[in-house]
This record gives sequence, structure tokens and C-alpha cells, in this order.
Amino acid sequence: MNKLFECKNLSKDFGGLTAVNKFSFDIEEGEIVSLIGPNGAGKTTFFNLVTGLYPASSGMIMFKGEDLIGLSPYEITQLGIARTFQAVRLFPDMTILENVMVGQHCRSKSGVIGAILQPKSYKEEEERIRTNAEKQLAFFGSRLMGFRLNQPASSLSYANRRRLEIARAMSTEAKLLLLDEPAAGMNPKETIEIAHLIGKLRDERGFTILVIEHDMRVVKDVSDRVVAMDYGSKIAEGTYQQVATNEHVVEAYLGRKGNEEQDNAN
Amino acid sequence: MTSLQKSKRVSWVSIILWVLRVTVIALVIYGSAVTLSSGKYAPSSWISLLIAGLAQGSIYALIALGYSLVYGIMLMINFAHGEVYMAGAFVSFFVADALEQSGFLQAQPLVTIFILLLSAMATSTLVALILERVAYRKLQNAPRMISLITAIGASFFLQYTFRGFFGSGFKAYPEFGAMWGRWTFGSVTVQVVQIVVAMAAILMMGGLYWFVEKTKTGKSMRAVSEDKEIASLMGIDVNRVIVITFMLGGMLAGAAGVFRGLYQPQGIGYNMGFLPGLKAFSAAVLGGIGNIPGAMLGGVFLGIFESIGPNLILQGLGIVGANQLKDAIAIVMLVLVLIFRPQGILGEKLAEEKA
Amino acid sequence: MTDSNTINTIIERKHATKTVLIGIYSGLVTLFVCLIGMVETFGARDIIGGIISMGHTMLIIIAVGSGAVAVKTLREDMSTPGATINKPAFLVEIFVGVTTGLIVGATLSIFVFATQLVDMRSVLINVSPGLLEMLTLQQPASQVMMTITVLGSLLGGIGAAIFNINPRIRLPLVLGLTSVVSLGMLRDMLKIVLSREGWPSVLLNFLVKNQGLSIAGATTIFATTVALVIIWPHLPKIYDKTVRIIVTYVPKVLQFAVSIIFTIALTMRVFWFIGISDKDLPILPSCQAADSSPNVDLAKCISILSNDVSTTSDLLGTNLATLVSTIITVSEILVGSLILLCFIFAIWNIRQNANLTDTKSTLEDPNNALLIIAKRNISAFFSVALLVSLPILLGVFPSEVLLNVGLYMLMGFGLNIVVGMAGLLDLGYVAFFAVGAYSTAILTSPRASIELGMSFWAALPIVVLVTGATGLLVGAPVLRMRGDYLAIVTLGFGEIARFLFLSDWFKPWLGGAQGIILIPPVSIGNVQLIGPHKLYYLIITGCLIALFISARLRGSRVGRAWMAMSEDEKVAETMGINTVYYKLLAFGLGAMIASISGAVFAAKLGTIFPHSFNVLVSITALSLLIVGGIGSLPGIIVGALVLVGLPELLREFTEYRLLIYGAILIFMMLSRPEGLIPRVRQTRELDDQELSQDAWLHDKNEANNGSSVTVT
Ligand SMILES: Nc1ncnc2c1ncn2[C@@H]1O[C@H](COP(=O)(O)OP(=O)(O)O)[C@@H](O)[C@H]1O
Ligand SMILES: [Mg+2]
Repeated sequence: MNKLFECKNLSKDFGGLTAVNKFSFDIEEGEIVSLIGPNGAGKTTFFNLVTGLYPASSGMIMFKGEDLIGLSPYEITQLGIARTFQAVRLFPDMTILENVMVGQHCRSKSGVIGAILQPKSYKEEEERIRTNAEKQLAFFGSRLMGFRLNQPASSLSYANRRRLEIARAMSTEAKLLLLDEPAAGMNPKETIEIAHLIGKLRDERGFTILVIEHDMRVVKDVSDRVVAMDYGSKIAEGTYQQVATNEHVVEAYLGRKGNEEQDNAN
Repeated sequence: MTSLQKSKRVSWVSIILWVLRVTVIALVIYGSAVTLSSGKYAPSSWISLLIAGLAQGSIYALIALGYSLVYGIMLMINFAHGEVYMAGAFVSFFVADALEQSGFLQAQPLVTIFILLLSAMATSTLVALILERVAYRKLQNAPRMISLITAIGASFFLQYTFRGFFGSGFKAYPEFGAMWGRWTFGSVTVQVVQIVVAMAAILMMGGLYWFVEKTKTGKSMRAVSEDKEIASLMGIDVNRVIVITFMLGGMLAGAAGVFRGLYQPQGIGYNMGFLPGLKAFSAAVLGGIGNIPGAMLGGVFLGIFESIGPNLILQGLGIVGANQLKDAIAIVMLVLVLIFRPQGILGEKLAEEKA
Repeated sequence: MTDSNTINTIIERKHATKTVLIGIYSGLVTLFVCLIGMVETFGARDIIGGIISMGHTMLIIIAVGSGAVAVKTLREDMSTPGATINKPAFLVEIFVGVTTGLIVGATLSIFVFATQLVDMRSVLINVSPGLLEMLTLQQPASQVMMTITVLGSLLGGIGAAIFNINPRIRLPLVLGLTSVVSLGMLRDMLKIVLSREGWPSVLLNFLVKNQGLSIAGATTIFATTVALVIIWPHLPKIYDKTVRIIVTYVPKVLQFAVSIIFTIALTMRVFWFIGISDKDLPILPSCQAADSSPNVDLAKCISILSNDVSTTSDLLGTNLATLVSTIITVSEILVGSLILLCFIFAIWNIRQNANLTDTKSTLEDPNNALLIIAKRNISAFFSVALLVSLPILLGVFPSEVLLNVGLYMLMGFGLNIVVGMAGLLDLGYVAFFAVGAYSTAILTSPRASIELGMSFWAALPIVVLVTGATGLLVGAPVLRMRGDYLAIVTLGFGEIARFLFLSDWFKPWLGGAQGIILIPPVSIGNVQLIGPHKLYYLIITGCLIALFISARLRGSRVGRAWMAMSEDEKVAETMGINTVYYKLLAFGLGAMIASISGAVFAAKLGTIFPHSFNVLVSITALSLLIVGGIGSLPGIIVGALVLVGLPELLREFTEYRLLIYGAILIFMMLSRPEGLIPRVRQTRELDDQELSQDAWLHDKNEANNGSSVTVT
């Protein structure tokens, strides 16, 4: 029972399509695990199941010994799981600082009365939320700091939006971070930096991380363990070397690629 | 942790919804049972109510189609559609009035109705097209809230434009003598106008269904409603499809305006479109928005329910002046449908961004 | 000849088509305002007495505007990259302006001609002899066609020419004309406000001549505005200097004493004002009545409202009355002379706050800090003084307008929590207003079914709680609905509420169509707040509290949760926000604030009918929110003043209120969905800038050996 996260026979049907199929899998505290697989394999759907955005069709998910099935997304976040999205989803009209401050929501508790009367405890809490947010942003260097703090998130460049999303997830003080393709759409330089950051997230901040990534260099650099998925099922698991040479995995990627090439040819 | 344990599996919102569902069903059954067992109404009067509801419902259905068509293509609620209907009714009133004064109406009632239909459909189509061009064209990819607020603005703008142009007094359609006859089948008496309106409306809906299912334009409409981007990649002119959709919606709404004038001559006024618009929207949602047969079915169902419901259910529950609450029925139904079956009766479970 | 040649070559066909189109659209707008009756209705009101009416002004504005818009479009088109000429020649512009004006004029003259041929009046009710008289200037229609067309061209040309005037002259000119037109429209207000003995009535007689402004008055207003516009940019410096002098040279004690004296005077003035017994108040003269029998009732009314010693001594005894009246006179002079400054101070303070980030560094300089604090105190003080003295300065009828503005403003603040902060488009907001009014009526009216006859203040907490609960009740079923469905369903709820209030079913409790009568007025101690000038204080207190609550909530954890939810509900939920709770909270709070507005409304009228609570109330509240910019608090104040206040001041507008609201909603959504005073000033245009800054920062980091630079 010392596993941080564990899921057993997790399945999700969309009408006829089984997007996640009897998926079993676990993560130990302090690990960085990569989830790979061709497009449409069900990786994002798996994240949505874990974070409670979709109800699971069957199976179970345990986190820190708690059953997550049936919990609302916000309860799951409160328990300590935070995520980013494949297509970055920020609060575009809120400022950068506010975006990150929202992440602290589940770690603070002042309500309407507190906000109106502003007793000392309220001010302290606001101050704490603010310092925390600035701390998360500082993790990314000066990019999101200074004058940017009070600019709307929509004014950020693509790469910075991804960073901000990670900062927002960090500020929920989660135990487990789920990162959905953090390097997608970044240039090689930025990609290397992201890989470096993921390592730092664990080493300096103590997060356990599950990351979906297509860029094999990143996967190779960061992962303690790699899980490969295709058609909703787990097809391989192990170190990067083991998985990368696994014939099912190679077939899943190459086969799919072959089809795509055929499609393109048509 | 224990607090989380409690909220697991069933949240209290679902409990409330369940209670609500059970209460509604219980009330409907109880009310109906009381009314039926009291034997206040003979079976034949139920049938008369049913036919009246059918006529009213087919008018709702015609308007509902406009909401549904536009929603299917643009994913927006054209809140001003009720005013498109009002415009048709209003203008055809002036035509009818002129024809009555000249004596043409009395001589050629059928031709008159035809002329009325043409004028109303033309007017409503024109209004719908202006709406699309001026207000909605720019908003095709805007957040829904923005297009909805625009549509609300358009709705009030149109209402008060008509009020300004033509005055705020209510007008009465001239009566067509032949329409007000009665047909008797056994113990059941129905008004001719009810049958005529229902038949004509059903005919038009059939025509629309044929158009959408069989013609090339109809096919491109369906393609656009499936996926706008792919459709435009396939070479379909999305803007043209949208214009045609608004035209179709406008034509049906104009026809509905004339039928309303024939069926209920009183009370043609600038704000006559508001409630029917709301009800027709409810009907479209009831049938499954974006779904053509659904809108027809929803409209007819709503009309019948509105006509029977107050007498059947509300009276049974001992509510005084039940018929005053007739207008509330559609709205209550809308709420219930949206809570319990947002995809409507016929709607398939649409992907999240569509439903 | 050569001129027309150049014109032909310079204006491409595309531009010509556009010009003609603009002309046609403007022509249609002209026809629209004629047919809808605006021209004739506004024709009854003169801007300058006997010379030009508001209706004519409107037509002139359209014609001039068409020329201006055409030229502006042309310039924009021509300055697009690829075009050879960047600025069209002066003559070309004039030609364009004349063309559009010509089309407008021609449209109008054809319309006039057509009215001679066919009788349109049986269908289009506004094609009346009155309208034609206005359009033809009482000439025979056939002769006047030419005149109208030429006039149109001329005005279009003027519109085009405006663009070629030096902006330093143009701005004062345009603003001067605007202020003449505005004050001309508000002539009734001038009459009411200035109808008191002494200098005000002299000024009034100078400015106003029977139906509108006098020529001398209009010229003076124009000149004053021009002068103001010219010295405006220098005012901040003068103001700064004055404040600096006060801060450095006037002893603290003296500053303090002056403000205390001022406060006491003002407070006493207000108490006295509220305390006048109600029987002394004459029947309120309506705006129109003031027109027909000028100054009779009004004068009496004003004399009682203002400083009338004999009335006061009845109330307070002679000695005290003399004292009070002296204080009152002093305070009145202070208030009267400083009112303009108050306004300017308030505006400057807003500006100052906007620039606060810049001034932060200068704050370290103690002198500057003192200055800024002093300025803030001064403007806060004067804003409050202005708010408090408004009904005293303006009299009863304008207070009625202000009261209505206040009722809607309060609703606006409530609705803003639901729509602006939580992002839930509630179109049935009137229901909460109605529940507030009805529950107040039931609890306080001795005629209501349960005959409680509570006092307003005892009832208020119950009213607020009951309405809050209603908010939760309405909120619960719509929790899981998507935005646009939620809007329609809430609209439906609003309608259902009205049906229920009207129904026989609830008649024993709610009175059906007859409503509930004999709702007692609000009283504070022995004083009954009867009349708008007294209730004003109640509603303004409510508004200030609501403003305070809204401002506090917005920057708080709760406000952030709402904002996050309104931007992306799913993501907000995965960030740990319990959206169900926050939606209900928004509905509940919004309902509570609306209920206070409803309660004051009930106490104001004394009788409530279901017909007062229709969908138009919701639409008005929504419109004022949108005009001000969804989520912007100053926007709500401006929105309420403009959308509710203006139409009440100009009775002609009431007829077209919803038409204008509708047009405003469409226009705002199409052109600037964020409203006039947007919540976030920065726009998305920053994007490019951002990219380059990114690159720059990156290089800088490289230079620092990649070590992360933290800026705090
Ligand atoms: N909301 C949904 N409704 C229906 N099908 C879905 C939905 N979300 C995902 N799917 C389907 O599930 C499969 C897995 O998708 P996804 O998890 O996004 O793949 P990926 O591994 O690329 O992240 C895909 O075939 C996708 O079409
Ligand atoms: Mg994915």
C-alpha cells in the first residue's frame, strides 16, 4: 500500500468506442513516469478519468489510499492531483498572477464575509496566496515575473502559456502532477528546457510526475519508467530502453505511421 | 477525509434532482387521476382540446424549426426568431386588411390566403436575412454568450421598430367566414380552421424535410451542421448555407404568422412574438435542438400539452384559474427537459460542444 | 473639368461604391428615424428657442455624420498597404462628403414627394402632417425637394470638411456644439434646477427662452465650453499646485477644522432637508407641467426645499432656526461654488488611480506621497459631498430621476455579481427584484393577507433572506446547464414569476392584478422618508454598500473563483473550485442585492402591481451592465446614469428606450464586447510585443550564463 497512485482495470467507453480499456497501472512516490502512445491511444482520456472530468465506465483509481471514483474534479485536486491540458487552457482574461493564485484556491478558505470585512486572517491568507503564486512563477525565471504579473494571460506567447499552466498546477500544492504534452508546439531549445524543468520539478519541488509526451528525447531524458498505450490498453511498461525496443510499441508507432502515410498518399 | 467519503458517489445535487423528478411525475399522475376520476370532462371534449392543441402546436412547430435549423448550423440561439414570426404576421395583417376593404377577400378567400402567405413569408425572410447580415454574420465564431446577447438586442430592436412604425395598438385579422365553420364527427366537433392550419403546417414541414434530405442544398446544410470546417474544406460555401438556413427559417415563421392570424385573429401586436418564440424554443429543445423531426414533434407535443395540461393536471391539483398558467407550462417543460434530458426526445447524445 | 478628371482617376470604383453605399445606409437611417416618429417627437423640443429643434438637429447630425463616416472610411481604405495615395486630396474628400449628403437629402426629398402621392398614414402611423411640416419647413412639398437635396449635400460636405480642420480647433468646436445641444435638450432640467431666487433665476432667464435656449445663452454656453476645453489640459497643473500649497503652507489644524465645519454644515443641511414635514411639500410638478405653467408650483416647491426660514422656525423654534439657516446658507454657498470642482476632482482621481503604477515610485518621495494622499482625501470628500447634496441642489423631480437611477444601479451591482463576476447570464433577474418588492409588501402592508404590518427595517432582513433563498431555488435546477440555455431558462423563470403574481391561484396572498396596496413608507426615527428626495439617501446608501461589497469581492479569493469559473468552468473545477457552490453563491448574493432594490421600490410606490415586474426590467439591467463593460464597477454607475437617467430626463426618449437599448446591445456586441469601460485595459494586441520581449529576455538570460533572473 505504499503506492502513491494506482488504477486497476480502468475503462472508458464513448458509445461504441472504448477509449481506455482495462488499464492498470501504478506510480510510486517521487517517480517520473512517461505515458506514450500514438494519437488517439486514450492518454488524454486517461487523464480526464483520473481528474474526474469523465466518469469511469468501470475499474478503480486509488490515490494515497483514497478511492477517486465518483469524486468531483475539485475534490480530486484537493486530495493532491493537478494537471495541465494538451491544448493549453488558461483563464485568458485573468492576469498571470491571478491565474496562479486560483491554483491556491483549494488550499485557502476565506469566504464572502472574510472578503468584505477583511479581518487580519483574511489579509494574511491573501498575502500567503500571493507569495506562493510568485514563488511558483519564479520557478520559470524572469519570464513570468515583473511587469508581466499583472498582464492578462492571453498576452503571453505560446511557450509561456504552457509554463504558466504548469505554474498554476504547481500552486495547488499537489503531490502528483499530470502533464499533458508539455513540450508540444515548442521549439527544440524550449523542449530541452522543459525536459530540464520536469526533472527540477521532482528534485527541487518534490512532485511525483506523470507526463504524456511525444518527443522521445524528452521521454528518454526525464523518465524513470515509461508506459506505452495503444487503443486504450497498456502495451508495454519498463525503462525507456525496454519500451523503445518493445515490438508492440514499434508496431503501434510504425503501423500507425504507415497508415498515415497511406492516407496522405490518397 | 470523512467529509469526502460522504459526498462520494451521489452528490446532493443529484439527490435534489431525483426528488424533483419524482415529485413532478407524482404530481402529474395525481392531478390527472383526480381530474379523470371526477369525470368533469367528457371524452369528446378531450378530443376537441387535442385537435385545438394540434393546430396551436403546428404553429409552434413551424417557429421551432427556425430555431432548430439555425442552431444546427450556427450553434446559436436566434432569440430574435420570435420577431421574425411577428414581422410576417404584422405585414400580412395589413395586406389582409387592404384586401378585405377592397372586397377581394370575400370574393376569393383561397387566393387571399395564398397572397397572405406569400407576403408574410417574404417579409419574414427579409427580416431574417437582414438579421443574419447585420447582426450575426460577424459573430459566427464568437462566444455563444456574445451572439445570444446580440440576438436579444435584435429582438427588442425589432419589437420596438415595429411598434414605432405601426403603432402599439393590437390589431385584429379579418375573419374568413368559411374558416369558422365546424365539422362534427359523432360527438366530436372541430373547427375547420384547426384542421386547415394543422394540415397546411404539416404539409410545409414535409416540404422542408424533403428539401433538407433530398436536395443538394439540403445535403450541404447537413454537412455544415455536422462540421463547419470540414464542410468548407469540401468546397461548400458555408455563408451561403447559413443564408439559406435563415431564409428557410424565415419562410416557415412567416407562414406561422399567417396561420396564427387565421387561427387566433385577435392580438396582432409588436410583442406577439415574444412568448411564442420562447415556447417554440422550448419545443425545439424538447424535440432535440438541431433535429428537424424533433422540432416538429416538440412543437406539436407542446401545443397539445398546453391545451390539455391545465385542465388535466393543474385542475386535478386544485389550482384555481389553471388556464392562466398555460403559458408557464412550456417554460416548466423546458426546464425539466434541460435538467433531465438535455438532448431532447429525438436528439442523439451530441458531442459535448454541441449539446 | 480637370477637377472632375482627377476625381475620376483618384477614386477607384471600389471606393465610389462604398461611398454610395454609405450614403444609402445613411439615407435609410434618416428614413428610419422619420418613420419611427423620432424626428417629430423630438421636433417638439427646441434646442435654440424658435430657431432649431431637436428633430432637425438629429437630421443634421445624420447628414453631417454620413459625410464624416464616408471620408473616414475612404482614408482608412487608402492608407491600407499597397495603395499609392495615403491621404485623399481635400477636394476629393469634399466631393465624397457631398455625395453621401446628397444621397441622404435625395432620399428624404423622395420620401416627402411620395407622401404627396400616397397616403401612408393608415399603415405607418408616424407619417403625420406634423412630420411633413418639419421636413418641408412649411413650404409646399414640390418646391422644397430641391432645397432638401441641396441642404443635404451641403451638410455632407461640412461633415467631410470637419476632418480637414486642425484638431486643436476641431475638438473645442465639436465639444462646444455638443454641449449646446445637450443643454438645449436638458432645458427642463435647467429650469427646475435654476428656478430659485437670486442669481440662479437671472442666469435662467438669460439662458432659456420659452421653448429652448436663447441665442445669447447658446453662444455663452458654446464659448464657455470652448474656453474650458482650451484650459482643460492646464487644469491638473493648477490643481496640483493648489493642493501642494495647501499641504505645505496651511496648518494641519486649519485643514482639519475647515473640513469638520464643512461636514457639520452639510450634515445639518441634510438632516434639515430630510426633516421637513411632508405636508409642506407641494404636489410634485412633472416635467411637462413645468412647461405649461412655468414656475408657479415650482417656485413654491423650491422655496420650501431651499432655505426658507419661516418654515424652519415652525420646526425648530426661532433662535435655532436662525442659526440653522445661517449654517445652511454657508453650506449652500460652499456646495454650490464647489460643485464643478467636485466633479473635476472625482474624474482626476480616477485618472490618478489608473496611473498609480507609475506614481508608485514617486510615492517614496514623502512630499509626493503627502500630495497624493491629500488629493485622494479631497476628491473622496467632495465626491461624498456631491452625492449627499445632489437632491438639495437639484430639487424634487431630478431626485426622482436619481432615485430610479439608484434602483437600477443597485440591481446592476447585484446582476454584476451573477453575470459579470460568475459569468452566468441571468435574464430573469427581475424575479428577484419582484420577490423583494412583494415580500416587503406582504410583511409591511396592513392590507396584506397576513396583516403583519412590520416596519420596513424589521422586514428588510427577512426580505433579503427570503429572496436569497429564492435565488438558490432558481439556481439549483440550472446549475448544470450551459450558458445560453441558462439564459433562456432564467428568462423563463422571470416570466413564470410574473404569471404567478398575476394568477388567481395566488390572488389571496399576492392580490392578483391589483397587487398589494398601502405599503408604508420607510421611516427613520420620527421622520418618514416620503418623496424621492428623501428616499434618495436610502438608495444611495444601498448603492454605496453594494459597490463596496462588489469591489471587495472582486479582488478576493471568491472573486477569483468566480472569474475563473466564468472563463473556463471545467478548468476551474480541476483547479479545485467547487463550481456548484460558487454558482449558488452568486445567485444567492445577486438575489439579495436585487431584493433590497425591490424593497425600496415597494416603499417608494406604496403599491405594487405584477405589471411592474416584466422582462424589460431584466433587459434594462443587463443593458446598463453591458454599456459600462461587463464586470466593470464604474461602468455600472455610468451605465445606469446614461441608460436610466437620460431617458427620464428627456421624456421624448422614453418611447424609444427599448429600441435604443436593443440597438446598443447589438452595437456593443459587434464592436466592443468588453464595453465602454472594460475590466481589463490591456488587450490582446500585446501578443506581438510579447514575443519580441520574450526573445529579448531570453538573450539576456543567456548573457547571465543561463542562471534564472528573478525580479521581485
Ligand atoms: N468526449 C469524447 N467523446 C467521444 N469520443 C472521445 C471523447 N474524448 C476522446 N474520445 C475518443 O477517444 C479516443 C482517445 O482520445 P485521446 O484520449 O484524446 O487520445 P490521445 O492518446 O491522443 O490523447 C479517440 O479516438 C477520441 O476520438
Ligand atoms: Mg491527447
